[in-house]
Amino acid sequence: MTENSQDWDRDKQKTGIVIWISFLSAAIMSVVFFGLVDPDNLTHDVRWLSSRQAAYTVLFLFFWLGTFASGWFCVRLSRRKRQQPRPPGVEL
Amino acid sequence: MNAETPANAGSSLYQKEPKIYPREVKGKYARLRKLAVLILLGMFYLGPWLTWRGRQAVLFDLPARKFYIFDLTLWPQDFLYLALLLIILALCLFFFTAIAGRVWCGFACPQTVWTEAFVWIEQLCEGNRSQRMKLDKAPWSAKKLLRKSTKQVLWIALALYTGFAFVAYFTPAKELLDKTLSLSLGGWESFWILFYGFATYGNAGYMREQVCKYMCPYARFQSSMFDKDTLIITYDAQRGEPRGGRRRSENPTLQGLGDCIDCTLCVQVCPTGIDIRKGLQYECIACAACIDACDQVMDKMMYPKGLIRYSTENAIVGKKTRVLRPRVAVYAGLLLVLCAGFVALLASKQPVILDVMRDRNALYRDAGRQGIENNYALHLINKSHAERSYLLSVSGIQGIRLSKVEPVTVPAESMIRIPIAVTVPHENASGGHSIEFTVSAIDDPSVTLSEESRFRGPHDNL
Repeated sequence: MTENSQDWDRDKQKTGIVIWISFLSAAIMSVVFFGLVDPDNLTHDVRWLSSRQAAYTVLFLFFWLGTFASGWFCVRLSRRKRQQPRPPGVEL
Repeated sequence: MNAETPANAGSSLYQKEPKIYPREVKGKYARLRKLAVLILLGMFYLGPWLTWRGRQAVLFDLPARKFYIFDLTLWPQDFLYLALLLIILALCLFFFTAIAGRVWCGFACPQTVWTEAFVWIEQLCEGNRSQRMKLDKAPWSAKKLLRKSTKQVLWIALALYTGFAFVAYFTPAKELLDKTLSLSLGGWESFWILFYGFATYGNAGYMREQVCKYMCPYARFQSSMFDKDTLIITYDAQRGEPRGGRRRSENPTLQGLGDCIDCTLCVQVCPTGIDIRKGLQYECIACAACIDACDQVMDKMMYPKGLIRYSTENAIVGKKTRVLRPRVAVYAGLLLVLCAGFVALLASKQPVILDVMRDRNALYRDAGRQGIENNYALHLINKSHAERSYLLSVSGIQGIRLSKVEPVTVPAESMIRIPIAVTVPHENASGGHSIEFTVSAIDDPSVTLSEESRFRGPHDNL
């Protein structure tokens, strides 16, 4: 990234939006989830979640991955078509 | 909004924006923001070090699943309070937006506050706007390297302490400091310090108002809370236009000019790089830097201040501004109801929690002459700061008895699990019944809590 790069193109804007919104969603999901579920009850079943702190962090990151993937695909797949179709090898 | 067509679109479909070097500004609102930054950052950075009755005053003890906020201790069972508090805070944001526009963005948002702090450091190391522009254009030299690296060192130090302070709200601050100094931080703590520190560094050092322009959801939907009576930063076009340069001694009315001398200082100070004279734009974060800049110019020109000012759309066209309007009344009403509910809930909060779980393995057991027996597990939480003894009782069916009648003692702020059997004589036990467990503190009879459960016996026709 250049110094103070203030020149965000459209892709960067979209990535920024997806990262931030998915982070917020994952944070809210984690708060609600761990408000209702004690990770100690989960760690019995999943051995590598050795402590509550580990469970909080790993599940938060897992939620974030999920919300990010969902947002990212939404943004990518809802792009409008920019180019006219053309047969392979033909320059328009 | 005011999307301009790029003059030379070239291969890129989108306009490239030049780097923004906001000019530093002095004035009423700049002072107000500095004060807000000092208070808010001070609260955040010093917060973990406050102690209250021998314990960290504000500690969200996630490993122990307990939140301490001064005298208040919240358990996971108190989740409702947290949810209610978050809803109240969101409504506050709506309420203040409807009345005063984006005051949150300009003065209180963490993004603004940390950006402000990082910009101070930048100015300290690299000088004012023109010096920074010159430095960036200049080839690399020892001086440039020194200035840039000093800035980076200070930025990284502030970011790391920010991460530390954040984690210190979740792990006791003194413990965390000891661990940090002896380099024995746990993996998760290190991860969160670095993560939060890195996010601060990136957001406040580099992304800055781009976050407001593109990433912040509030910035994109706050306009739906606006109406013509909302306080906004606006340029008084009727007074300012037609704009144009002139000498101070000249009378603008004779030249057919308005009060705007077109010095473009309002554009130079804008951290988002917009021209407020084109009207309200969603990029405007209401930092009021343009007001400060314009007021200084008006003073120099000996014109009245306020060519750019806080005003409302109605006021600027000469209509009356109404503060109390349906939108505001609805937000205020909802806020009042929720706040009253919150206070009432807090006041009625019992320092004890009782959870009753019925044994799911067996429906019932025939205990011979004693009757029919059901098994339960009681989770009893003592939320008070001292050890307490409780009496348990059960009611709901004629002749119902508990297997345990002696008082149970629970240490301060702890939970115990009590396996307990409930017996009902044969003649009253058939079918399903609602029963009620009651727990009451021996030292304080007002501390009493009841919890319902089910009792099951054999069906008559079986």
